[in-house]
Amino acid sequence: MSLKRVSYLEIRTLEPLAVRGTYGRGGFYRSHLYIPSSTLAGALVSEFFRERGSAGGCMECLAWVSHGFPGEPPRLGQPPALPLTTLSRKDGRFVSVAIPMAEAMLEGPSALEPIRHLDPKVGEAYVRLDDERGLSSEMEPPSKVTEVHVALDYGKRTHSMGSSQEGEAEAGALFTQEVIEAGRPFHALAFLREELLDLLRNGMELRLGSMRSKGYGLCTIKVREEMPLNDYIEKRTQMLEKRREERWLIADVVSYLRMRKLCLGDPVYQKVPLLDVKFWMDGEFHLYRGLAGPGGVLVFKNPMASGSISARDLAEMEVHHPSDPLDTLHGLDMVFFDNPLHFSRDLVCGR
Amino acid sequence: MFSRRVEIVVRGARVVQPSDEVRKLNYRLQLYRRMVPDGRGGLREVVSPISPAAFKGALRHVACILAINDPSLADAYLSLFGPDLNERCPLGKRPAGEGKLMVELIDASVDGESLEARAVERELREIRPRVRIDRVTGSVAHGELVLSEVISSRMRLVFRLHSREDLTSDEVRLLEAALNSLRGWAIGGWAGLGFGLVEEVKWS
Repeated sequence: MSLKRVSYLEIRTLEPLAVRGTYGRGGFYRSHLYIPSSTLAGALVSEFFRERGSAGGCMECLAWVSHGFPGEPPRLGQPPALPLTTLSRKDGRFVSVAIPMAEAMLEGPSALEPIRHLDPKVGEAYVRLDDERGLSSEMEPPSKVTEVHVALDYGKRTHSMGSSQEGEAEAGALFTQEVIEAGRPFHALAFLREELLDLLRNGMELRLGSMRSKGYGLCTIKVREEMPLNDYIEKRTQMLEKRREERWLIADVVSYLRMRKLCLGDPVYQKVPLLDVKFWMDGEFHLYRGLAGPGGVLVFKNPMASGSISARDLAEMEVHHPSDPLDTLHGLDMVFFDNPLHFSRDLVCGR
Repeated sequence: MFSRRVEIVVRGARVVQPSDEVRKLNYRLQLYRRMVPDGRGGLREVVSPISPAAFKGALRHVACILAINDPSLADAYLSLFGPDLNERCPLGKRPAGEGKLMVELIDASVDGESLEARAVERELREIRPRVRIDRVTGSVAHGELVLSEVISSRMRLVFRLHSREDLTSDEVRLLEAALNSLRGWAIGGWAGLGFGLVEEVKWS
């Protein structure tokens, strides 16, 4: 593997950020509440090649980056603030119901009694365990603003603006874009080549997303914490070793996951958003169908307990990026095992 | 590498989008906000009712007119602003790509004080009516009352025009001609009523 360093990157938006997520009827481009991994990695790699004065290509594997999730980075070894699909809420407390749901799959609905009183309508909440207090905290999601713009470049937009004989604009020229407001912190787990990390150590300014030449997308990116890959594997191995005797192994999808890549057999329980994701690169679209989206949760019978797999094997699976450089650049197949949130049933949310 | 600081004084602004409010307000101001260094190691928010996109659009429009009248500047126009394939600017086509000119907002102020979101909300934002006249009857047209948020104060806005690449002499010539011609131009809507009128342009 050429990606020898692991780091948490701290990203802060200085200008509004326009990253198009989904397209709605009436020319409405929705934005995610996170910065997509492909946007981050693409900007980093482009800047690297620009600094080097060469065009470069996606065949060089330089970066495997997670999405940029809201909030300050945690310590390395802890998961990013993921929008877990198994969160429920009661009276301001966040609880992950992944384990009770898995138990119910094997033992019947009686296993759901402890969580019947919980409210499953959490929406998109980015929650992380605070190491020092042992409490979960919800990362404040960024605010989105809706803006109306006029398209001029027919080659890049889905609208056209031409003049009728009366000199008036044709219909469809306007489009609505959600943007993330400026001044927001994000963090991303990044596996980088040494040369790319060198650029980031002192911090840099990058432009992300669309409309970059018109006052959108300026961000600062810097390394909050880093360590060599082998040290990270060692640290994660020790953390996973502590869960060796647990009944369950829980995998969280950090970026996008092709389910067939997780060679742990069939999960006992899973709750994953399935997405068809389109990436634009080098003048063409790349389409991935049926990806598990960020925050998806899969629960397996713990293979460490049976001895079929070791904690080190799991730690290495977490850091094993796809062999295809394009898949790596798009941030595919990043998972995190045994997020402490799933194993703590009495959490108090500090809002 | 190219960089220019451009300061403009505009009288009023009406850069709006349709209102999503229930009451009869058809258009609300579209405020642009960004963070800039505060000189003490931190960041402060700058708010402007005229975004870099609106300013760049006005500059592009003026540059297009100049390039139409001086065909020797056509390539400079396409290089700075990117391909403009709509039929209103017949300067020919070229492969799609971003223009090299980038625009950033540096500062926005009224009466020497930096614009803040709260000041805009409380003191500067106004609601103005407008109505369409029925050409047949000469009276107001039924159902055509429009209420829009505007700002009528004189504002000083500072933008930075820059590019990662050096500009050719033609590109600099076009850009300076466009900036010179921007005085008397209007940015945003209701230009016929005087909103967004550029009264002064200075650059360094």
